[in-house]
Amino acid sequence: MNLKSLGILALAAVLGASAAVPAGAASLKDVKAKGTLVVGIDPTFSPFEFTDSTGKIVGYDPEIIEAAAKNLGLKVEYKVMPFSGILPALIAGGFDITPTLNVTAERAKRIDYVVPTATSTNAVLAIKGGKVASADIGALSGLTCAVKQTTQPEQMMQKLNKELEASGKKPVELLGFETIDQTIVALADGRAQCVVDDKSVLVEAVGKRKDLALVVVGDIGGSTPIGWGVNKADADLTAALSAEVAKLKADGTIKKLQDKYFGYTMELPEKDFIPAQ
Amino acid sequence: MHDTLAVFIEYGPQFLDGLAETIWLTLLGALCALAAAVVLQAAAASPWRPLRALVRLYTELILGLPILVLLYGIYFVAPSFGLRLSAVAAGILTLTLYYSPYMAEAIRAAIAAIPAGQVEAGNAIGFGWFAVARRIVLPQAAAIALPALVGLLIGLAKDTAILSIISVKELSYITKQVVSRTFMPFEVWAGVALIYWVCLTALEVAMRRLERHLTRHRRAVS
Repeated sequence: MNLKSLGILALAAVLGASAAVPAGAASLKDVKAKGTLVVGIDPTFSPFEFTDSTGKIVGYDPEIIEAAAKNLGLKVEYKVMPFSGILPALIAGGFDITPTLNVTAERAKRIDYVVPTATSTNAVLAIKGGKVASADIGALSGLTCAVKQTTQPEQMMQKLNKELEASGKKPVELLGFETIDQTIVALADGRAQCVVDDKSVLVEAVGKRKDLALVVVGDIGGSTPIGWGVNKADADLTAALSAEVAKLKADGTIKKLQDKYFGYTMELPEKDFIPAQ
Repeated sequence: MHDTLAVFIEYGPQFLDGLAETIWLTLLGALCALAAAVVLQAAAASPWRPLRALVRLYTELILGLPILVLLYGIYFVAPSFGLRLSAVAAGILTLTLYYSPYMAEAIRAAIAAIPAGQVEAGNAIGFGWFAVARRIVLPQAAAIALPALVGLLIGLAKDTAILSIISVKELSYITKQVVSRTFMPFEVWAGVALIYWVCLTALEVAMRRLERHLTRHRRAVS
């Protein structure tokens, strides 16, 4: 085969792939038929989702998922991948649901959300006595900040950067990594002066890495609900899981888990939780 | 199809920046790796035994490491030992360390393929070491080494995508960003695959031309 025909073949393959419609994950009926709820997860986000010393996936959301799945008569199977691959895989039908997802208007156009299991407030993490003494975006202007690639905190910072630039200030340079621990290493190494992510995750990191003298200097941006994402094709699965989450909330299970994993409880919205933009 | 085009137009400047970064990383990485390979090959041919042993140790060490582990080591672990490089510098160093032993081996094999008799003949007619290298060994060895080096160059070009995990803003990093904005993983990654493919094919075709040029003496006699 010569180079030209190979080129045409490759072009056809690529265009074919781009035209292909995602198969879509299973509906509630299909999930019940296979008896297993397949959960796509990046378990590097303690206390929401992480692995214990035996390699088992644990955390706040996995515990709620397992309780909900049990009530529905389902087993839970985890598919682990980095966060930047999670949403593409969910849209492609690679698994049924993914937990611990900030609810954003942009995402809600392409995926559905189960009723939120948590609310997230982003905060700024820095080294004690370092350059960052305030979580005000103006004070971060011109500094370097580590974030997780493709996450809501990263996108929020990109939006705040536009506001900074509009007011004639230097934007915050963003270094995007795959996991939260990598962002903290970048902070510890002095490559970044701050990390922006969910506050409860950062508070946990401060406790785990006492050697680094980390400090949460304050909140940044508003708070957003955190829910489980489901493929838009599976509306009945979303509804069934939402009903289970509501039950676990009513019987106090969720409050108990919030105490266990976060050390405090949070109010959860039940409807109209998708932000307007 | 129309949507896909709209995404590539909307994010066009970002994709171009990413592509420029990828091309730049490839060129600089390949040059550094080739230079390191020449040094390695010279050291491996040195009469001084400890130097040869050092080169062998280094080669064994690198060949036994996945490039991802090497990259993490240089970016995340080396700062604990006082070496703090920017993401781009860590990326270039990783590509250099990883590809130089392979390139050195391609160079070694090419030089070994030149019959010793030619070198002796060169010496017999009064050529010094440098003249033998420049006029007899290098022109032939370059042509012999080129196909292997081109294969490694293309491997290196593809491996630049790995650097996205340490925040190097090359083409794959930009793609992940655009996918997280547009939620069109199939269309965007397929388009980017096409961009990679076209660029790498162009690189291969250019290198084949160079190879034909370097081997023109073989055709001239037939």
